[in-house]
Amino acid sequence: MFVLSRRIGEAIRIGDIRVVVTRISGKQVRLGFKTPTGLRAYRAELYAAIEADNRAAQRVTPQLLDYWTKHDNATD
Amino acid sequence: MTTQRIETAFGPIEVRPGQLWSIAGSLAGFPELRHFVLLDVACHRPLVWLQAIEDPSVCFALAAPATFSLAYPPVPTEALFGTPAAETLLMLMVILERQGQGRIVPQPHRLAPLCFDLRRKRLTQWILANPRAVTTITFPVTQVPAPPLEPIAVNA
Repeated sequence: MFVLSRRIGEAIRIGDIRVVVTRISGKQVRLGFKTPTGLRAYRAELYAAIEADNRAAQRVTPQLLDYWTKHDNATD
Repeated sequence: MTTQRIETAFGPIEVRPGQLWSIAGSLAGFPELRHFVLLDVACHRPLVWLQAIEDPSVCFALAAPATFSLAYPPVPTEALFGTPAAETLLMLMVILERQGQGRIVPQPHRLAPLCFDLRRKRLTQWILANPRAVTTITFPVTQVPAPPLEPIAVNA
């Protein structure tokens, strides 16, 4: 992993993305992001949850949906 | 008009260029998927299928938010797409969750609706950080109108 030290007000650039340290309070760091339009930044845990739900949605296949529809709320 | 033959979870179909949707950004967990078509399977209505072009084995069942009695705040289209979108429509991925006593229940992918830009044939996933932004419709939804997405009819 690439590690950089920064102070409040200092920034790093990741390609077109600019990340600024805006506040440090105890163990918490507040970061500001300037991203190209259309590119968004998320908390990693939120993104991981969305990714997991996307994968869960992908497991809903036509065959599974047919099974569920035919058994209409069936237990198995 | 030229058509493109693509493989889908329902078999091969012919697709016109105007029936293709491209993604702005990427779908979390599926960065390789760039293009999609929407499929209408009569026996699965009111759901429609979002079929990935790059991987025929990947398709998502989608439902209108009202199907789950959900309502969303105004879509920040410029932030999502990079340019304003005059006409957008939200759809939710459907997840089948196993709940108590083995019961399988359809659930919406509530915090990450797909936003369709109807004029430019683009879509993107809108990730909402605040769950309270999504509200439940309190009046009964008896019939959800078909969304104007013009999916391609296919046979199951």
